[in-house]
Amino acid sequence: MKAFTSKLGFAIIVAMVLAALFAPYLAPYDPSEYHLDLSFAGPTFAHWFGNDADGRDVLSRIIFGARVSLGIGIAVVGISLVAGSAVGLIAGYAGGIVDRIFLFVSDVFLAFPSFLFAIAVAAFLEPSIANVVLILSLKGWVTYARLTRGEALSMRERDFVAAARASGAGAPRIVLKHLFPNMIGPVLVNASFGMAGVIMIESALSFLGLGVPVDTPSWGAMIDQGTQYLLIAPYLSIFPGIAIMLVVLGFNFLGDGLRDKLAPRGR
Amino acid sequence: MRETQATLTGSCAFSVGGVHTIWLISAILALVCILSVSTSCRQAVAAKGDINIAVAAGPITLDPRLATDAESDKISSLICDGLLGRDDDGGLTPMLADRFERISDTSYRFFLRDGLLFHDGTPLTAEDVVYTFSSIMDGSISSPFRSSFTRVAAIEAESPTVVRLDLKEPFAPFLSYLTRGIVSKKAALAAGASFGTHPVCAGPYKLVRFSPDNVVELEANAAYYGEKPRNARLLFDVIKDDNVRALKLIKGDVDLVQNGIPALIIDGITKSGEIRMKNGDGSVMSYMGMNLTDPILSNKKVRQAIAYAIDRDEIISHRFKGMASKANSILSPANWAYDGELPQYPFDPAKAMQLMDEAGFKDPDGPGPLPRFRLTYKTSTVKERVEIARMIAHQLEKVGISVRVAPYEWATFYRDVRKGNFQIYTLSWVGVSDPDIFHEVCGSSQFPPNGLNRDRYKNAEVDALVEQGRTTMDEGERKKIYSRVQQIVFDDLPYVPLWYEKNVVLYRKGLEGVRVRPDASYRVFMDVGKK
Amino acid sequence: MLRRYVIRRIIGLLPVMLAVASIVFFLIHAIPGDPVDLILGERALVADRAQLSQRLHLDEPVAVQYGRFMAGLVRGDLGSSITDARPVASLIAERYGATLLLAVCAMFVAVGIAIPAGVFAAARRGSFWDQAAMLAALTGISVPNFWLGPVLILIFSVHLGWLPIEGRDSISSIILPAITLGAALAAMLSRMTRSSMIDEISKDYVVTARAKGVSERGVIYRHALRNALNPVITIVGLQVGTLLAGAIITEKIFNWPGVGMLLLDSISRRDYPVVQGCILVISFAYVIVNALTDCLYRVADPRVKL
Repeated sequence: MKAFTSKLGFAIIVAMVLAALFAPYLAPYDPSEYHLDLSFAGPTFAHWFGNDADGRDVLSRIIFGARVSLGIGIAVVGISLVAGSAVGLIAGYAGGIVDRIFLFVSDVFLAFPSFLFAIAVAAFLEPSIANVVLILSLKGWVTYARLTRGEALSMRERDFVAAARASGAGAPRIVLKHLFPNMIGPVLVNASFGMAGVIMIESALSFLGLGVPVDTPSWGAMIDQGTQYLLIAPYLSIFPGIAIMLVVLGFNFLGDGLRDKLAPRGR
Repeated sequence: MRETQATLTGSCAFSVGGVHTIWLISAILALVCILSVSTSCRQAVAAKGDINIAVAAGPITLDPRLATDAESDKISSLICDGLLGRDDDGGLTPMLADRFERISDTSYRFFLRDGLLFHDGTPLTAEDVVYTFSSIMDGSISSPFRSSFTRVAAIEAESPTVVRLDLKEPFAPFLSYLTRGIVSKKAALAAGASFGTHPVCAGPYKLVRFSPDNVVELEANAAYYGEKPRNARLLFDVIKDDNVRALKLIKGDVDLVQNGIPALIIDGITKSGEIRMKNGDGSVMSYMGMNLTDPILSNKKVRQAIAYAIDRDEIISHRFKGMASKANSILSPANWAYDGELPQYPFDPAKAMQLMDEAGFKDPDGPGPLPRFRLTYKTSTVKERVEIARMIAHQLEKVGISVRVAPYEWATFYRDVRKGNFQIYTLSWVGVSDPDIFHEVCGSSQFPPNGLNRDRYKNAEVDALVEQGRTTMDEGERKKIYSRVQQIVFDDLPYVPLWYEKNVVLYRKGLEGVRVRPDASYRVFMDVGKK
Repeated sequence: MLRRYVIRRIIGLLPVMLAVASIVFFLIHAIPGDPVDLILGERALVADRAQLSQRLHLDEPVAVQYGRFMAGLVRGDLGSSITDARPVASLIAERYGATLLLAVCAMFVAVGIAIPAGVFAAARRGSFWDQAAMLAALTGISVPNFWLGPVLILIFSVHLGWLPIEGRDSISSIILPAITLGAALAAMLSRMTRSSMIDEISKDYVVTARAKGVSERGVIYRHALRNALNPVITIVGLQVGTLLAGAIITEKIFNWPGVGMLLLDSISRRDYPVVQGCILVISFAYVIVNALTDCLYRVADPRVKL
């Protein structure tokens, strides 16, 4: 069962990534081509997921959207996870003044509402994918940092760490070999949800008018645009929502499988 | 082993407490929720004479001397009557002043109706009229309308019902400034800055409740001098989300929405037959502004090419579902000074390409990917506006102009337009009544921050004409002057006139007396009633 | 020991708040847009603009304005709104309760659904109910609240007529906003609880307890849950910020007159003092909650050194 779901998760992610990579070959239509006569045309054999307000093919936009949404998701989660875990582990293991400085900085970052930052960035710069990644990563790393710091804090007093220390292991070794593998479960679970969270926040940014550039198909922006026509064409926001769900599902299954492999205490 | 056991016991004891604590906290939270909701509970009044109107934004102030945003202006016009008012066609009509005389080109005398009363029951006298305009003119309340009154030399109360106004020079548009609401001197001085939330005026409604961003409740003024409103109460419900606005109308929580439902979903809402729709020509004119100091756009042929390349019929039929008509002037066809002879720039991509070729902007690779030139198109982040900008951009791409649509947050966008930090943008002119608008928008002395010439247009002939138009008192003469202005501006094309959006009102089928005015004024709500 | 920690933590909040205040100040003053333009409109006289900007101290160098702001803050004075001259403190006071109520109810919805669901799913790992709960969680997290809100209204208000669409009219009017705001958090927490529970259940002490004949329910509820809640508490604390940010969209949809709506409007009006005030109270709430969860963390896990 477990092996099956994690394989399924892996398969979903691989399929999504392939769809993103080969979007121009897979998409049946040009994602930004107008067909005004097909405005709000529901799903048909020619257009499986129907057409949006301007008659653009929803399926093609979802396939191209995988590039943008997965790209943003992977970039943000990747940056946040690596930077955040590193900072959190150091702070949690070192403790003392280092930990206090970390707490201060992360408190400031967390306490500061990120969308104000988003609005400020958007006021300076036009909507762009790089800006979205920047905005989301600036806040994203803190969650991972706090999570790993909390775990490190509670773990560094435990027997196995003490034993490792007694046997003469240095701090980097203890952190990497003993602490990190033990917290990989929560971190991965968080990361798998983080993917969804990032894609969601990207759509919220679109809702507030601060998302990806006009005409760029991203799933978040598609949900936002589709929501405008919720009362007459709900499928416009449901299909990209399902795409997001599949990605979340995929990363979760994958996360579960990875945790069982990586986290020894799970046995 | 012993240690494990100890830990376990301790852990047991604590965890029992811990789990219970969680449920206890949850229960307390639930209680807090319930209590705080019930204490803040207010009784919903939905009497038969109440009309619920959904608006997308709340008014900021109801002081007519300060109201610049559309909602503030429109709602305050129901609370505060001016010396003069406007009829459905935009013409000036008597209001608080039942007549006036023009003593000379620069002097007017206004005669107030007898027995006018403010909402608080105190009489409205010439003193209040003088106070209202003086407080705008002397800068004591930082009124944005001060510039309209800089030509006033003197204002005095000749008797409790007669006001005399003297201008420094003849100024034809002046009467149109006197529609601004008159406030109670006593109440305004007593309330100070809070007058905006507690206005005391003499309009058909009085304010009952004003919670910004939430609800504005007006009650019919029983002592109103004119025809009394047909309803007892108007409730303006501020609903920012488009879907929720439509849903409240469908459910019946809201009786009426004016211009607040996107055209694309109107059909879906009226299908059931519960919701009716009325529409009428509007005076709001949308245009594409172009920066005349830009090396590309300073070329008139390029500007005309852009006008020829925009397929407005496609946008009007697709995006507006026909709820707009093509524009060719700032003035709408309903305006007395509109020049009916003005042509249109038809959709003609071949002509557009030819003009750009002539202007020296040849397409380097024909239909290939290289553009003739690139433009950045700024817009606000309002979704419908962005979608329209995207359509226009697509149309311009087809004649070889590469366009990047750049939506900006409103305050930033507005500042950029004012500062001339743009190539092209789209915006609208709202509330145009007197053709003197051409002085503000096309006069070369009116570059921001001095005026509204956002596109930095400069034409000596237009400058002379708009100056002449202000001092000419005869309406026939003025019409001729402004016809000439409209023709020149149409040809010079500092901005591309796009369309006049129709005013669309959606309402529950039980409502009677619903109509729309070109200026989308809320005064029409006075006549709305329930069967 | 604990009390000393709490006090230390709260004192530690002051510099955080000062840093947040400074960042807000410089950020909001750095973004383009002129409040005077927005208040007076385009027709105002140049002299009037200058006068207003002088009256609002906007003509001073930013450093001087910053000093003025900080001086006011130390005295507990948040200044007055640029738009309507009302004191920022009273503007916020009017609305803070509404936002707090919304956030608390959303948190209640989230925790109330997530912890039982997570524990239940973990206890019956792999069962149909486990998978159904986790699928529901996935759906919950894949749905943005600006979409969920209208959909809930469509179903529960328009079609079924059970709940009011918006407003503060009755007790039932908070249900939809609270669900809208809490759904994503509920989804995330139930996942977190489940995963954490599974980790705990397989640990030695639980195995020992089982071996010692403690009942299955006892094992799960008394032993594993306590430890499993640690990471969950951290997440709850961290998510308060997300919740408050999400409250802005939820408030906009349901017309909930909270701080979020005030903040959005103030940003678009460039009403600097109100923006600063709103951000400060939002940040303050966040910081306090996190200090509390941090303390709770230590209470829950005595092994952590205070």
